[in-house]
Amino acid sequence: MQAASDEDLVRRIAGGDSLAMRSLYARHHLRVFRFLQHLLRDEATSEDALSEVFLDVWRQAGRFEERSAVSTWLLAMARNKAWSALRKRREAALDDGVAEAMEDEADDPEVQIQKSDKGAAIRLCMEKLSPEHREVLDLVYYHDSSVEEVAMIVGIPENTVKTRLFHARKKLAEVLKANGIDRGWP
Amino acid sequence: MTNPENMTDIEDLLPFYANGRISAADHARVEAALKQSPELARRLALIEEERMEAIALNEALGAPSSRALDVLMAKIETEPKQAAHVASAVKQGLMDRLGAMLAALSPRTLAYASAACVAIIALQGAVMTGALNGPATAPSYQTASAIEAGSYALVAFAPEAKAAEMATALKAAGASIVEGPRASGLYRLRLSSTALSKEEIAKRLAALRAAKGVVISADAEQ
Repeated sequence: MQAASDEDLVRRIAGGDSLAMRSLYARHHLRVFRFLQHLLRDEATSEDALSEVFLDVWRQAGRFEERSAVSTWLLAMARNKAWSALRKRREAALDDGVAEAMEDEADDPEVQIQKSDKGAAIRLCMEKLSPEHREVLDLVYYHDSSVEEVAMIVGIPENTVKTRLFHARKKLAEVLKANGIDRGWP
Repeated sequence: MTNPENMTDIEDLLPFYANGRISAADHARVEAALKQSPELARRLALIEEERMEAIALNEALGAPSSRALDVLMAKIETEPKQAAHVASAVKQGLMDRLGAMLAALSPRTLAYASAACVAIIALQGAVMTGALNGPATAPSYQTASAIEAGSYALVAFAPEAKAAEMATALKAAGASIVEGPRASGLYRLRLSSTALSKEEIAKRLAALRAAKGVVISADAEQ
């Protein structure tokens, strides 16, 4: 027996089928949650945003035009939620007179400790990238998104996707180099 | 031989070559360039390394608690029923759309619409019965004008109008709803079962229009 496609589930959700909602959630919640958590870096806020993303699916299922994959639609909604939360957080920090701490690229004790484990050092340095760079690396490396899908999710032209990805990778290399790990690129 | 300009172009494609989300044509271009350039192959290895660590980083993030789903389902329970249904109406059949439209109506409006539907069905039944059982020599049809005898108006009610206010306005004009709301939002009212004079129709319409905040527009049906 063939499982219902994501598009079938969305059509059923549009008809008010809460069981289809649970199926779609079961299929996609983990990846959406991880995308949110990587941007928001807070489990509780990410869970709230996750609920909101799927609530929007419930509300907007009838307007889903199947121009993109359901997973792309979900990630685009998740991105909007995450950036909205990040903006609020930044505004709150400014209101409190707390300037956002700039990450010091060089001599990060954690990275220094991980020098012997290059993989762990790369992971730590990825965490230190800006949200703009983290999201594009996540989408391409973990969510296996195409150029067109990243453009749709992030809301930027396709050429900008390639440029941003290049800069994210370049920044990652710089942070690694500043911590004594030179990979010979760029 | 791959020139520097092509090299940049190909290098931009490497992350998508690595994740398998690249067109067949670009895939072939990258394959050809990789065979020619050991440096490009080395850069692909760096991308593969980054990709592996990005996956490991995400896998280490864990899963959300059951709270997220509980909150979601609780919110869905409190959502207005028609929200999803009305939104999906564009993709559903006529009956579904009709159902969604009726679900969005207030109880009183629904009662008016139902009464109108019953009247129309009864009228159709009477016409059909008459056509089937009538004398063989009698005409087997009636003209539309015979059925539609009387005076009618088309009215738009304010969205915030209350049922009681609508009923008062209808009573003042001696009118009753026979059809609607149409796709345009208009209701068809019967002003009289007989043909009224122009002056009388104008008087009835004026009575409807006098219901400020209840009736948006009222015009005689041509």
